Parts: sequence; structure tokens; C-alpha cells
Amino acid sequence: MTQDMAYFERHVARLLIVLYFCGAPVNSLLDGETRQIDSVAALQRFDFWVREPGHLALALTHLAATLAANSAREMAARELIALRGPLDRLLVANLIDVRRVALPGAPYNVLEDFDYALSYLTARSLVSDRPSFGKTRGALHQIVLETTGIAFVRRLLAECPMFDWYRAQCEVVAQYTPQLDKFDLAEMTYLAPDLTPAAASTLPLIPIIQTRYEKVFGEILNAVV
Amino acid sequence: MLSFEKLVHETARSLAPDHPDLSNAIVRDVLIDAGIDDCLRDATPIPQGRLIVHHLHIAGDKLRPDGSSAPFCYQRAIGGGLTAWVGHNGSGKSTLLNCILWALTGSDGGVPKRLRSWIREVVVQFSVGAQEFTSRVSRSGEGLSGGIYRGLLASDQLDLGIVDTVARFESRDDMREAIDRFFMQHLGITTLRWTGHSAEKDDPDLHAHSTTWRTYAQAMHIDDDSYDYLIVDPQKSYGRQDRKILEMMLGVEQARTVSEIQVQADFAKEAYGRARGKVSSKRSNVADQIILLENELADVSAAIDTLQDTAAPIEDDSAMVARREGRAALIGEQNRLSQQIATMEGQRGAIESEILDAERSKVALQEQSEVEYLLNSLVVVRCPHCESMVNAEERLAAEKHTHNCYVCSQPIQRSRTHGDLKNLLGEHDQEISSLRATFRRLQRDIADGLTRLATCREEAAQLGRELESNVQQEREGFSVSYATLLVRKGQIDGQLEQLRRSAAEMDAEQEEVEMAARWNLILQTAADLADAEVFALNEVSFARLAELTVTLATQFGLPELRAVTIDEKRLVRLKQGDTWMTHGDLARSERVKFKVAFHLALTLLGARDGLGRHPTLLIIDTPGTAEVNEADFVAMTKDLARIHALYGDQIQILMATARPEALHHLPSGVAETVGEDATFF
Repeated sequence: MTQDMAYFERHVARLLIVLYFCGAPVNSLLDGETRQIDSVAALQRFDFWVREPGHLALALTHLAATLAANSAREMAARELIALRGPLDRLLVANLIDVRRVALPGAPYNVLEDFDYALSYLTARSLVSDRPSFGKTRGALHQIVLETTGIAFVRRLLAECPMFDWYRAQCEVVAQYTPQLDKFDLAEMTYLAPDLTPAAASTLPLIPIIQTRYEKVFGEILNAVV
Repeated sequence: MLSFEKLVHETARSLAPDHPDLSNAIVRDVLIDAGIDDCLRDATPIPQGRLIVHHLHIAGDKLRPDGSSAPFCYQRAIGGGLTAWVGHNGSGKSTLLNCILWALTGSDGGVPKRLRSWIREVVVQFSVGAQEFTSRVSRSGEGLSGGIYRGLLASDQLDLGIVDTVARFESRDDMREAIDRFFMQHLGITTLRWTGHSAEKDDPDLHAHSTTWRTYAQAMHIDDDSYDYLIVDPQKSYGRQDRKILEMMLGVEQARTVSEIQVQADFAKEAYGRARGKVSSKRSNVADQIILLENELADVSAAIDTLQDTAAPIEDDSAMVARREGRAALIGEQNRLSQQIATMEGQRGAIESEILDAERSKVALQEQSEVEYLLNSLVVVRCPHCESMVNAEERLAAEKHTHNCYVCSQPIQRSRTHGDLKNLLGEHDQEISSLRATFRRLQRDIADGLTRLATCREEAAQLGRELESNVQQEREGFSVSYATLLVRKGQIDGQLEQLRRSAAEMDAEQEEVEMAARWNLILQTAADLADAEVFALNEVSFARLAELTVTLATQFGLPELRAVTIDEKRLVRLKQGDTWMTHGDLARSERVKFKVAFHLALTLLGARDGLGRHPTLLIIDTPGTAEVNEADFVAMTKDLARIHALYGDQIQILMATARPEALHHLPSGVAETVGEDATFF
């Protein structure tokens, strides 16, 4: 996210919502309720899935196909039904392609640079951003959504109905973060066989998702149930 | 003396036994058209005298091994006769000789590239006959400039600029051209031409090449890389440049005429070969086709006669033709529709993409409109970098006063959104609905197109089935189609007429081929005759050169040299013991002695007997450093000293050697020396 990006505030607002759902809740008597993130990389990945609902739907479809192939039948049926919920919501809303927030330079620039947005939020005391001194390579920052920030996000979600979409997306991403983290975003293996990162950044994805959804859930659920 | 009339007469006489139709008049016309008469009339320029180098000046900056540079300036006055530089390898003696060649020929190939960057200026004072000149070459960076000036001038005199400039140059190519022109004019030498194919790939044309002053200048330079050949490297001397150089330096009368006739003969041969190849391949092709078609015509006519005799029924295939035309029109319509549909599908894809972009923009606007004021109402309370708290009142006061941000000092942005959001949203809605209307229209058009396409396909298929059935019926009814035979007969008649016209045209071309053959024959014969005639006229010169070479080479220690001859092809052969051989067959040490002897002989002929156009300047670089034993080297040095004594006022020899024993045999004042660790510059 750069200073020149058009409609900067909407990106800052989305980042606040992402911080709210991506951060680990911390309650302390002195500071009150805060959300804490120890890795900018994790924040960027979380934001990628929120910004790219098409990629999220394709990744979930891929997960569903893998699940059905590898798990025991009953467990698979339960997990598949759980996966169907968010996919149904995405397909019914029919907003996968419209609500995509593409970065300039996609598909070669998939992760957003939050420096300017985090400075903006830090200056307004909604976020604290400082080095974490952690030993792992990914943990170079400790980003904390402060009590004021949490209050602001709640107000934002209450007053701005357009941002309810991001809340729903964040909830799905938060639920499937361990599985989604297994995908390498440099390769995007969930796009194969009929899509490449370059094609996925330009083509409407709904028809492809629809086809894959029908194939996976049509065949697998018929076989299981 | 070879005259034009004599050449015409001799050529016609030589051709008469085999070609009685080639009269004197025809031979004369061909030779005149080839420009041979003009060539025989053109006078060879008169040489203005011999070339003598008087002074050498080289200045520049020497690069030391530690990377620093030191300015140097080398100067030496050079007298007539022998001048020598004696120094160990690497002392710079060869570079001095090559600098003289650079200033006199424009060719800097002999100066090592590393040393070339050291040299800032080379000034060579020289005279041609009674006229005195100075040649100057100046280098600055990669650029090169200089000129030839009248008078013997020092570098500082040239810097003053009050000089009589004979030629000026600003680049390497300019320099070569200017120097070539100058010396060819003043030494009375001319270009001799020969033919050859271009080195460029896929260029089949024959080109004429010419000798220049630089070509001839090779005959006055002998260095340790050139002992293996007598005059020039045969690997590089396309078109026998060695022969041209020898003839020019020996002053062979009418060498230019012979070379010009040979060039014209080569062009005639090339033209004849091409014309013959072109016509013969075309002619055989046309003749074959005529025979084939005539045979086929006979068969077709016979079949027609048979059908007419048996009163074959005449078909009426107009219904079938109409169906075929109808089917072709339908297939054409199908193609047109398919193209139209493909275009519309492309447009639909583009519109779909535009709708998506517009909807995304609308969403972005909606999000921005909802959240903009909420976020902008947040107050900056601390520095994002050092997290120092910002006093709100102080900030407001400062920003009101300076219109710059209190934290980062950048100008304050009034709003990030450009334009009224509500209006922008309205415009987006309008754009989206317009795009959707276009999209729907395209969808309808595509659907219509697909329906029409399906109808076309069905109709074409129906016609196809009907045609197939008709053809089947026709095959059952007739074994041979009378109409087809008539059509084929008409086609064959047309093709035969065309081919016969081509054959008539080729007869005219054949006349051109015969003309080219006649040119080739006459010019080749004339060239051979002129060559033999000129050789006979100049045989005395060749014999004197051979005799003098034997004398000098024997003195230089070439064992058992009985004789040297120069044959009619201008190849130099020598007899050692009882064996005839060429220079290349000699041992390497013997080649050095023979080469030096040959070039000294060539120079001496000019100086002593006034024979030829040699500039009488010989540059001999490190003669036989490793190849010649001490006794032979001493003999060679003594001979050079003797030539200096006898012909010092007529020949100039510039010599460099690494062998210190030369100092004992060279006349005093001739040699400049340097010690073991020193260099000339």
C-alpha cells in the first residue's frame, strides 16, 4: 500500500478489520482488550485471502477435493459440508470477481506493503508497531491493535455496511488459516490444472469456481451420502 | 610495344582457325565496347622521384606497470642509405618502424594495440624527389586526425598552424584515402584491377577490386611474420596481389592494360555462364512440357473422336452446377457468420471485462464514501516513528499557520478523493447500465448468428447429399465425360500456345547467350595474348631482377643457388642444386635470406638502373633474429653496409635488429643503440 494509492482510507479500513480478525486476542487489566500479531508476513497472507475471494474459493475447492480423496468417509462428509457453507455464500452472493481488490502489478505483486498504512494508524494511536526481537525470520514486528483500534473497528463494522463483506471473509480465512498457510503463494498450486497465476489475475473466476464446485461436491457428496 | 590494332589483329588471327566468323571488325567492336582502346591510350603517370624519410618524431604518454603515466618524446634524424636501431627485444625498435609505416601508409596494424594508446602524435618528415613533405598523425582518445603538409616541419611548427596543407584527414578511413591518393599521385603508381567474389554471404556477383598505395607499400616492409611468403601472404592475397605488386614495382609496361583486359574477360565469362545456365534450364523445361502436352492432346483428341463416332449423349449439368454454386455460397456464408460470431464473442469478452472493472470501481467508491470521513476524523496524536505524543492544539495552530503537516512537514492534503463521490457513483451506475445494454445486444446478436449458422450448415449439408447422389448417378451413366474432354482439350491448346510463345522468346535469349559467348571468347583470347606479349616485352626486366637476386642471395649465404626465374605467370622460382622450387619450399632460415635479397634486388634495380617504380625505401625489421646463423647474419649485414656505401644516395634502408654483433659491421653513425634495460622511448 503506497501513499499514492487511490482511496487510501478503504484500504486502511480493510487492514483494521484484518488486524482485528488475524490478531491474537490479549486481555490485560492495564491495557484492556488488544489484538496482537507477531509477523507481517502472516498479516500479508491473511490480507491476500481477504482481498482475493476468487483465490479463497479456489483454494477451498481444492481443499475439499483433497479432503475427499484422503480422509475417512464419515469425517470427510462432515468437513465437506462445513466447507460448503462459505463456498455457497460466495457463489450465491455472486460477488467474487467484483469484490476482488487487486494490487497494482498483480500477479507478480500478491502481498501488500503495509508500511504507510501502519504509520497512518500508529500516528492516530489505533495501532502500535514495534520490533519484536523474536528469533524467527518472520517475526520482525510486533503489531498491536490497541483498545482504541478495537473500538474503532467495531464502530466501523456497525456504521459501514459495505465492510461487512470483509468481516465475513475474515471469519472464513481465520477458520481455515492452518490449511491455507500450507499453500505457497509463489506457486499457487490450487489454481492448476486449468489456471495459472497470470490467467487468474485477469479472467473472471466465477465460471471456473462454479465448474469446480459442481464437480467436487456433485461427485463426492453423491458418492459419500 | 602493344598497340590496339596489333591486339585486334593478333586476337582475330588466333581465333580464325576455329571461329572463322569472328572477323577483325567484330573483334575490334568487342574490344572497343569493353573499353580496351581507351585503356591502351591512357598514359601511366610519371613518377616524381624516390621516397626518402628524413626525420621521425613520436610523442605520447607511457603507461608504467604501477598505473602511472610518464610523457615521452622520441626524435631521430634519418639520413639516406642505411639507418639502424639495435636493441634487445621489447626495446621498441619495431614500434618505431611501424610508426613510420603508419604515417606513410595510414595502416597502424603493425603498432601493438597497447602501445597505440600511449602515442599522442607521430610526425614523419619525408621527400618525394625534390619536393619535401611532413606527415602528421594525432590521436586523442579514440579519435584520429592529421594531414600531409608541404615542407619539412617540426611538431611545434605544425602547432602554429601556418602551414601549406596538401591533404587533411579527420578519421582512420579519411587518412587511408588521403595518403593513398597522395602517394599514388607523387610516386606515379596506378591501380591494377582484378576480379573476385565478395566475401559477403549470398552475394553471387563478381566484383572488381583494385590495388592501392597500401598494397604496394607491402613490398617495402619485411618483418619476421612475413618470411614465409615472398611478397604478400597468399592466404590473404585474393586475385594474385603479389603479381600486381611485382609488376608495378618492376615498372612492367602496360601491366594496367593486361589487368583491365583480364577483368573484362572475367566479367564476360561470368555473364556468359549465367546466361547459358538460365536459358538451358528454361529451354529443356519448356521443351519437355511441350512434348508432354502434345502427347496428352493426341490422346484427348482420339477420345473425343471416339465419342463423336459413337454419338455419345451430351450431358446437361446445369442443375448440378447450380447446386454446387448454391453450396459454395452457403459455405461462404458459414465462414462469414463464423467470423462475425468470433468477432462478437471477442467484443463480448471485452465488454464483460469493462463491466467488471466498472463494478469494482463502484465498490471501491462505495467503500471509500462510507469510511472516508470516519477515518479522516481521527486525530494525529503521536509520531509514527518515535511515538512522541503530539500536542493537538499546538499541531492545529502550526498546521493552520504553515499548511504543512506537523509531523512530517509535507503539504497537507485536503482530501484524497477527487470529485464528488455521489456524482461519481451516479456516473459509474450509468456506465455500467450502458455496458450491460451493449452486452445484452451482443448476446442477442451472437444467438441470432448461431441460429443462422446452424441453418446454413443444414442447407449446405442437404445440398451436399443431393450432389453426392447426382455424381453417383452420373458415374453409373457415363464412363467418360465428353464435356470434361472438351474442356481439357481447350486447356491444353491454351497451355501449348503459351509455351510456344515462351520458346520463341527463348530463341531471342539464345542470341544473347551467343553474343555473351563471343565476348567471352574474344576477351579471354585477347587477355592471354596481351599477357604473353607484355611478358615478352618485359622479359629483360624480369631476367635482370632474377640475376640480381641470385647474386645477393648467394652473398647472404643461400647455399647452392644456381638460378632464379620469373615465369610467364610471374611466379618466382629458384634452382637450388639441381631442383627447381619456390620460395615456400626453402628452409625458414633460407627464406629470410632469399626474401631480403629479392627485395633488395627490386630496390636496387630502381636505384641503379632506373627500372620500375619502387619507392626505393626498404624497411627491414629484425632480419633473422633466430633463423639465421651468425656468419650469415654478418654476411647480410656486410652486404647492407656495402649497399649503403655504393647506393646510399639512391636507396634508403631502415633496419631494426636485436643482434648486437651488427654493430661491428655497420658503418659508424648509422646505428642507434640502447642498453639491456633501456628502451628507445
